[in-house]
Amino acid sequence: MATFRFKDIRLEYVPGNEILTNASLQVENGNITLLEGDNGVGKTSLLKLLGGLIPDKSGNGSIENFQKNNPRKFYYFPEDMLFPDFTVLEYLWLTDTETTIRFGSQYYQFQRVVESLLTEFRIEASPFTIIRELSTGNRTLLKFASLMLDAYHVLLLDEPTSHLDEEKLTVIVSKTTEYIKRNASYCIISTHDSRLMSHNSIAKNAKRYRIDNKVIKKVGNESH
Amino acid sequence: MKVTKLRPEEITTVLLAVLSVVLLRLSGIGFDYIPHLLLNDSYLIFLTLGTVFILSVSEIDISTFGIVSLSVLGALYINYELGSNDNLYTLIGLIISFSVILSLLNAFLVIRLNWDSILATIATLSLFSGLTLIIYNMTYLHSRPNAEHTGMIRPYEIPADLERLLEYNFLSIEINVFLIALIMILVSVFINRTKLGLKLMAVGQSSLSASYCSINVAAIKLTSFILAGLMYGVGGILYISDFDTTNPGYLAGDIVIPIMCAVLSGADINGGRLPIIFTIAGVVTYSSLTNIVNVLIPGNNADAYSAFFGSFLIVYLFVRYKTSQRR
Repeated sequence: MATFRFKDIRLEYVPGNEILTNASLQVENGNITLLEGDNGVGKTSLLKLLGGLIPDKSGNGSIENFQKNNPRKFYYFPEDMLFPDFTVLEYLWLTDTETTIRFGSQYYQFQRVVESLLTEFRIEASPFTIIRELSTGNRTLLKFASLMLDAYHVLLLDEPTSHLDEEKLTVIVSKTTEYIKRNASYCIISTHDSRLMSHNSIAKNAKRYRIDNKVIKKVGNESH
Repeated sequence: MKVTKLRPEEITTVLLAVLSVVLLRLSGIGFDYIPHLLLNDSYLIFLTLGTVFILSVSEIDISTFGIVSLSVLGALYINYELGSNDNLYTLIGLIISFSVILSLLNAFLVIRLNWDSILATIATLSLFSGLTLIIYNMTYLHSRPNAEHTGMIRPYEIPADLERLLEYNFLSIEINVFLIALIMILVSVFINRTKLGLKLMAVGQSSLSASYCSINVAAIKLTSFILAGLMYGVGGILYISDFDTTNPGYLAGDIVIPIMCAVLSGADINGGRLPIIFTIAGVVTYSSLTNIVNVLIPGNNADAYSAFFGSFLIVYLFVRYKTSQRR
C-alpha cells in the first residue's frame, strides 16, 4: 500500500480570502479517505484542487506530482447530470476506454456487459433506457457502474450518497471498496452523510479527516 | 434484437415530412416529384448536415456557408484567370479546403478566444463579404464581363465519365438519390457507431459532464467546426453547380434555411443528438413547404418566404420547448 502526502495546501475563493492555509493531507491507495466538515468549509473545492479542476497556487508541486503520477481520474460531482439524451448503453460506451467503434458482434457483446453491470449495481433500467428517465439514485449508481469499465488511479467523490437509500448506499460502498483494493486506486470522498461515516467498512478502515478553521485535522487525532 | 426506440422529436420529424408531402400532393404536385425535390435541394442536405454538426456542440456558425460562396467564388476566379475549367476535381478540392480553413478561423475565435459563436459568425461573415468586394475591385463576379461571355452553362465542366455515371437510373430513380442516401448512411454510421460521434453529442448535451468524463471539449468543438466546414464545402459545390455566376450574398442571404432544416430534422438548438438520417426528412419538409408557399403565393416573393419561414421556425421551436417541458 502506497501513501501520498499533500503538503502546504492553499485554497482561496477570492484573492486574499484563504479557506485553507498550509494544510496537509495524507492519502493511501487501496483505502478510502473521508473528508468531513460543515457546508462551505471547502470540501468540494479541495477535491477539485486535488483533481486538477481548479489551479493550484501553492507552488510547492505536491499536487502537480500527484497529477503526473496518477493521470486517470474518476470524478463524481453532484452538478454532473450525466447526459440526459443518451441511453444507458451510450453513456457506458462513452466511458469505456476499450471500445472505440461498435459494429456487429462487438455491439452485442457490449450490450451484454451493460446488462450485467445494471444487474450488478441493481439499477432499474435497460441498456436502452434514456438517462433523463432515470431517478437521481439510479443516475448515481450508473455513474459508479461506469467506474468498472476503466482502471482509474484516483477517485474523487463529492457527496456521492446524498440521494441513495440504505440499500443503494451499501452497494456503492462495497463496490467502491472492492474496486480501489483491486486497482490500488486512491479514493477521496467528501461527505456529511452520517450513514456513510458510520457504515461498517468505512468506520473500520477509512482514514477520516475534518476541515475546520482553515486546516485539515485527522479525526480523533492531531492536526496535519 | 432490441434497438433504441424512436424519440418524440424523431417521430415528429417523420410525421411532419409525411404531412408536408401529403399537402404538396393536395396542392397539385405529384408524388413522383419527391426525388426531384431532393435532387434540387441536395446542396441543402449538406448545408443542413453542417448545421447539425455545429448545433450538436451548442454552437452556431452561419458565416461558414456564407463563406462557402466566397470560396466557390475564389475557386471560380482562379479557374477564369487560369483559363481552364476542365479540372473539376482540383476545383472541388480547392473549394472544400478553403471552406474548412475558413471554418477553422471561426473555431479559433469561438474556442480559443471564447467569443460568443453568434458574434464570431456575424463578424466573419461581414469581414469576408467585404474582403471579396475589395479582391474583385469592388465588383462581384456576376458583373465581371467574362462571366457573361464565356457561354458556360456551369462554372465548371463535368468530366464525361462522371456525367455518364450521374445519368444512370435505377428503378426510374436517378443515381444521385442513391448516392445521397449512401452518404447519409455512412455519416450516420460514423456518428452512431464511433466514439468520436458520441463525444460530439456528449459535449453538446453538457460540456461540464463531458469534461468530468475526461473528454477534451475544445478538441471536440474544433472537430465539429471542421466537419461543418467540410459539409458546407460540398453544399457550396452542389449549390453553385446550376449557376454560371455567384456572389457571397447568395448563401449568406439564406442563412436561416439550413438552421430551419436542421431544426425540422430534430436537431436541438441547445446541442445534443445528431439526427443524420432524419436530415432527409427535414429537407423534404422544407422543400415541400417551399413548393406549397409557391403555389399559395404566386411570384418569387422573397420577403413573403422569409416572413413565413421565420415565423414557422419560431412557432415550431416554441411548441417543441413546451412539449419537452411537459415530458
